[in-house]
Amino acid sequence: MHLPGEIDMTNAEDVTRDLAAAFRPGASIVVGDLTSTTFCDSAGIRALALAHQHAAQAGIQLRLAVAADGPVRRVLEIMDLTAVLAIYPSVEAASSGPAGPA
Amino acid sequence: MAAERRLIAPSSEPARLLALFAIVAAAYALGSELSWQSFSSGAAFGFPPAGVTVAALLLTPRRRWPAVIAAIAVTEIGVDLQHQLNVAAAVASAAANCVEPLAGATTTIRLGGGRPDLTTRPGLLRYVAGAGCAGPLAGGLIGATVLARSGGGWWPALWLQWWAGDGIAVLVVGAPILLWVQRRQLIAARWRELVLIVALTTGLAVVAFRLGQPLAVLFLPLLAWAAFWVGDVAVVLAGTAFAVVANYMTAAGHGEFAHLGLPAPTAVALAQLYIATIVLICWLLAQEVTGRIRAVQEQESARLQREAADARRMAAELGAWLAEAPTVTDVAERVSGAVRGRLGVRHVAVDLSPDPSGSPAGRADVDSGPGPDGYLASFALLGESGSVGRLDVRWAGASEPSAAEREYLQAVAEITSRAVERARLRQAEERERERLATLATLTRLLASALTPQAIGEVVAERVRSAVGGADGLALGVVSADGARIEWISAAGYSEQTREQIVDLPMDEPTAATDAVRTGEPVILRESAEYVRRYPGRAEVVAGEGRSSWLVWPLIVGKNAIGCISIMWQRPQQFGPGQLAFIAAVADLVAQALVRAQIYADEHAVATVLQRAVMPRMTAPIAGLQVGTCYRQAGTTWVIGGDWYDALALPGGRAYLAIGDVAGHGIAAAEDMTQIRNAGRALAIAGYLPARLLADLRRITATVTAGQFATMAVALAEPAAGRLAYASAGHLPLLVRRAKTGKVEALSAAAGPPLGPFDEAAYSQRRTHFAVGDVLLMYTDGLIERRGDDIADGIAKVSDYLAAWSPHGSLDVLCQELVTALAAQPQLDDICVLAVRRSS
Repeated sequence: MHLPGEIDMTNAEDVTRDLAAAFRPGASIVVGDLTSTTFCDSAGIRALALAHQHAAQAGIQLRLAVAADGPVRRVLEIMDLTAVLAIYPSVEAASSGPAGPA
Repeated sequence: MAAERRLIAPSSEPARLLALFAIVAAAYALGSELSWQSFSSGAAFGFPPAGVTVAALLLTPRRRWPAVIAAIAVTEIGVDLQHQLNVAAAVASAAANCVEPLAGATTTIRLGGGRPDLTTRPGLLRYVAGAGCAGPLAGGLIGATVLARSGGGWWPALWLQWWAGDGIAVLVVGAPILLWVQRRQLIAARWRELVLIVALTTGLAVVAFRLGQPLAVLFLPLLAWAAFWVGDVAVVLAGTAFAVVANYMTAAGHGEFAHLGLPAPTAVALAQLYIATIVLICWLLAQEVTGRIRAVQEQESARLQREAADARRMAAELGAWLAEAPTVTDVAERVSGAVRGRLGVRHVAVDLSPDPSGSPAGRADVDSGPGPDGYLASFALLGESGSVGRLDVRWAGASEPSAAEREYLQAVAEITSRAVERARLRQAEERERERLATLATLTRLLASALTPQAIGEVVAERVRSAVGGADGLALGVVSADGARIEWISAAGYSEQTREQIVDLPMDEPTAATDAVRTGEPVILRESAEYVRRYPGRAEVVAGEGRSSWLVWPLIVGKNAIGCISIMWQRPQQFGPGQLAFIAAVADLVAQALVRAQIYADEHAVATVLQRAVMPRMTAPIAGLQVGTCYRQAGTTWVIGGDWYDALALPGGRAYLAIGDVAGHGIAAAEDMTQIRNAGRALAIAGYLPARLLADLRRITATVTAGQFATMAVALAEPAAGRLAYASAGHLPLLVRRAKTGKVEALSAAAGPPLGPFDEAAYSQRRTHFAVGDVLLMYTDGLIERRGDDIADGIAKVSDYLAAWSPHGSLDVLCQELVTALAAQPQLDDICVLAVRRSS
């Protein structure tokens, strides 16, 4: 699933809802594509964290594709979420990679 | 014959035949009796029935001829018998008088072209040849024989006499009848002149015969004048009058022919031939004159038609040009330019204010005439839906414009009307598009306008131009107690009016209170109407001239919560499009006001909560100086969950914390309170930072609603110069070292935010904290800026801190940091906490 270029308090709830909609029974992995996202504030991170929680409750892995040296990656690092959320460097890696955080 | 037509027209065929019979018989009997009288008095002057019969045949279709012939035969025999003629002579006479018109009419028709048109030369010649010569000569063969047998006499003289008498009758009685039918309108219009000509001819003829003057000398001018002045009918009627007089006078022994020493019948016949010649010459002259006049008229009319066609073509070319004119103003300018260029007139004005009365004259020019400044012509511009304006053209001179000029202007007026209507339509569509765009913009702008004042500004800025260039616009809301209307914005009004725009008690009769009370818009097209309805408010209108006013209520549910008052300095038509647009705007504004109210309520609660848990001044802590700054988001509807805490703990330690609860509104404020108080409690209980965060995470998972918060904790031991810290996903703490002036980011301590994460381990680090060192804790509002990397944001804070004069006030530092670095507009809350070791 492609996520917006900027995620902030104005569209964070949309992101949460859109991701939640993807957590249909039968799906085992959902990939959130943040590779083209250039801005993600604390509300955006919260949305991703909530989505992560919803996914876990539904027995689904939410994997996030985040550019390795991009701004989102840096935010995630600063908030020390790289160990908690399933982060992959690209959509391909997220789709085919092994389970667990990269 | 005209009378005959009128009489027999409505009936059935037998009735028509009967009427024809009766009229011919009556006319014949009258003429015949007249003839008998003159014969008996010795004054033979033609035989009038000969004219009547041939005219009757020429005027009726051939199938009705038997009725005419029967009338002739019956009447002739009857009259003859009454005058003691023997039966054989009477029958022979009847035969002669039947053959004569039949031969005359048939020959005339046979000579070509059917019934003769006596207004043309060929028609006249055919009539003279057929009815005037062939008919009487044929009738004369029988008639002269009968006369010779019954009364004796020289047959050829009798034949000539018969021909002359009947021929002149054909000319002076038959021809007028035929012409009468052809020229009925002319005769009806100019009967006075005809009577005058006939009277003059008669009088002149009588005098001429009495005094023996040469006839032609006096008559030719008169007949020529008749020919020129009235036409052939006048000539023929004058000829008739002259013939009658000449006959009588010659028969009575007056005039030249009477003195030729000839026997009376011969003299009369000669006179008749002479008269016939004169009448024919004048008639031909009249035809010639009429023809020439007609030719000149035709030429003139052809020229006028050419000019008119030219004018129409020019107007059509203008029309093609006008079709591309985008606005009515362009149409007006193009028309003025084109008309001035073509006609060289002094002044052209296209007035596009519709004349409410329209023009009763339809397409005709409504008003024109010479004036002191030249000739003025005004043309009504009439579109399909009535008047669209007026075209005024003023010539330099006072002389009347030509028909072609008028034709041109008429066409221009029609084309202009169409072009104006088209341009109006286009402009209306354009306006509609603009209105839709304005509504979209308004929707967007009003969505982020969170206070009534902000809404008022948006409305004043965006709505005025979109509602047809309104000059003034005010937004009023009903006060909380419902007793007043409070104006929250007013734009565009004159200084004088602005002074009058004060809060209105609801019981005061004004347009605004009426609109709010009734829930119906109040429309005032003219200042005068305003003053009439609200006499107490006259001073408001006084400053605004000839204005239109409109007050639209802002309806929510069933109640009006306020109103928009709009003023135009030019009178408005208030079309349905304009009103619908204003209604839509009012709807948007009403919703925005409701949102603002909800926001204001929530904001108030959240602010109270935030202030309650986060006093501006922290209690003094031994060995540390503390500075803080909290700044709420600017225009956004979000109230953040940013917080800080600074608390002296037992044992000379100090608990320093900062946090950010994600989410907004009351829920975030509540979570913030929970986390802050729980953190405080754990700190007082002696928990070290990492342990404190781990326990706090478990607590937040159960007691808070936001489920996601970042937080940084530092435990300072000022006496020992130590600092222990841990972070739950929070931004790195910064320390400015007093010794080097460098700023260090304390980033190694790790742990995720307080939230729904199963594996959450928090590490704890230590660092030294020397005298003069400054610890800076802050929330993301200070560094998050669209387009900037978060690391860059942190670096900016770091740089600012490094450059800061280390002995300044910490409160001032915090405020300056926010002022210098916060994004504009400030979309998120900002908390900054600075701590310096003082000893």
